[in-house]
Amino acid sequence: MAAAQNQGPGAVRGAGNPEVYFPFLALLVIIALPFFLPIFFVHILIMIFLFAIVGSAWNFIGGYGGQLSLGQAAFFGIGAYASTMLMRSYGLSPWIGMFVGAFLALLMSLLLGAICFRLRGPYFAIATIGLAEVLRLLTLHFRGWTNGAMGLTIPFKGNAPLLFQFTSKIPYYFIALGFLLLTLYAVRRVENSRLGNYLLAIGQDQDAAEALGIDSAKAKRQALYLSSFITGLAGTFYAQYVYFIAPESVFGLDLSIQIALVAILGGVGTVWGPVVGAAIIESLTQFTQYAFAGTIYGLEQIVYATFLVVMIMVRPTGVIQWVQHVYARWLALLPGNHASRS
Amino acid sequence: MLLEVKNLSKNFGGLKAVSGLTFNVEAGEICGQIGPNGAGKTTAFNLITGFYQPDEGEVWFKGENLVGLKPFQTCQRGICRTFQLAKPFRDLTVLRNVMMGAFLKTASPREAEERALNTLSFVKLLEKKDFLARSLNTIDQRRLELARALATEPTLLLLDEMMAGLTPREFDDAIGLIRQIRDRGVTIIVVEHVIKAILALSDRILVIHQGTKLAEGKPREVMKDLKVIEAYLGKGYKHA
Repeated sequence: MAAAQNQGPGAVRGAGNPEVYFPFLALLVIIALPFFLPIFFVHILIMIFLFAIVGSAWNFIGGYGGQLSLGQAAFFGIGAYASTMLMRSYGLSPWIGMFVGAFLALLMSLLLGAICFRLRGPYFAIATIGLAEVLRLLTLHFRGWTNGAMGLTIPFKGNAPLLFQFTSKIPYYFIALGFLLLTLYAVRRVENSRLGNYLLAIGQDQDAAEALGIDSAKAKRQALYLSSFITGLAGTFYAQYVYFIAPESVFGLDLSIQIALVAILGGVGTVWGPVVGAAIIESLTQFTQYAFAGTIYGLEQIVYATFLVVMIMVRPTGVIQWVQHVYARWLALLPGNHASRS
Repeated sequence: MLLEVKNLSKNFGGLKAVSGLTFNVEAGEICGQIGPNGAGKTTAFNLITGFYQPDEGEVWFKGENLVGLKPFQTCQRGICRTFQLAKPFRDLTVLRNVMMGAFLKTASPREAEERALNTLSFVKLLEKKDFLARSLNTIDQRRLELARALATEPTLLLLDEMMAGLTPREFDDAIGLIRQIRDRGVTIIVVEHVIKAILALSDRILVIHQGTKLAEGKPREVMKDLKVIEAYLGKGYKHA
């Protein structure tokens, strides 16, 4: 931030500067990709975008706020079930149901925030796990509404954009991409705001933060609201994309852990960390599935887990720093007038 | 009267950490508090700023009883404290640390940065603004602690053992700095172990012993007080 100001606007903003033109080129490539790639890869990219979104949402509370949430599936599941049930029962378009679900997720976070922020550290994590588990068990129990463990399918309407349904994967790709860009923009805005700073301070030392007049409970609640709302929206996207939801798949602890893992592996408290983490974890999941499933039972999971362990041992503070380093070197190789760096 | 502490008491189990402590602080003064280890000085700070809730007593500040308020609320009302063991935000830069204090009075990051830079130059830490707080030595960590508290623009500043272990030169710097802060209109309570520091700084001294006020007065008067010499200087200290 300070460095950019010192260099003056001319040095950084010029279109000939790789720092400026490369991200645009990259975006163009990303926009063109789904028209060339095989469907399988488009699917992987969509899943990467989805997990980058929920990982970024986790990052508000878990990364910037330093409060380990292992119950993000609660919000994800509320979003998925709300829009799906509203569509099945009342024919409500998931485009609207999406926001109903997100607001319900927000309501749930109001409750969680009111109760759980008295708890610190591992106790908060346990409380969030508990919340998601309660919701999972309730969906299993109230079979009349939720169809229990059988799950719910989304009624197939063919190509119906108004009902958030598409026969091609390409529209999903662009919806996920747009959603991700908006999420990253929101993260960026928060990071540079007072709230973002306060969350950083609280994550570092809560007593010291309080001594400086920071209402830590309030800041954490605000982070949780943002986090739950975005995760709820993502839940609807998932339901509409996969056409099937079940308690285990949208409220399960596995999902909560994977959401946290995406951000932790990538780098907590950074804008791009969850994106990098999602790219690694999703491609790893999909490729190990593809390469090893059907050989020796469970081999794909062993390979996946081994990769994860190695990566976390090599980069315990997240892969993002290494990625940024490589990215900076890459930019230096590109032609153009480079901003002078001292 | 800016601050009135009335009959403040706090027990931890059976131990009376603070018991019936009463004192006043006037606007614009430096009030020094001395007493042996465990006398209840730091506990009193924690009670005033809301880190602990008192069992009994009242803390009146600008006409409001602060008892029941949380630390962030007492800070929002204009009381800021430093910690005896500095608590920097270790993984953040020095500048970012001080901005956290400045955000109390402005929501704008740019303005917070500007105020933080001013404060850093005041405590002579400006050249280290981009260092991570964890990389500072003890002395600079205390400067940072002070800068962060100052950035909240407090009316009343509580300094907890800022001077322990300073070299004579650093000591003189610190004394000068605290006087300058007072000259800017900030009222200060200084808790110190180092008698020399308290004598050099304070307009008025409070001697605290076993959680209660033992003596009070101008530095010279207090030092003449026999009770003080017994309680604080003790037998061993006479030779020190």
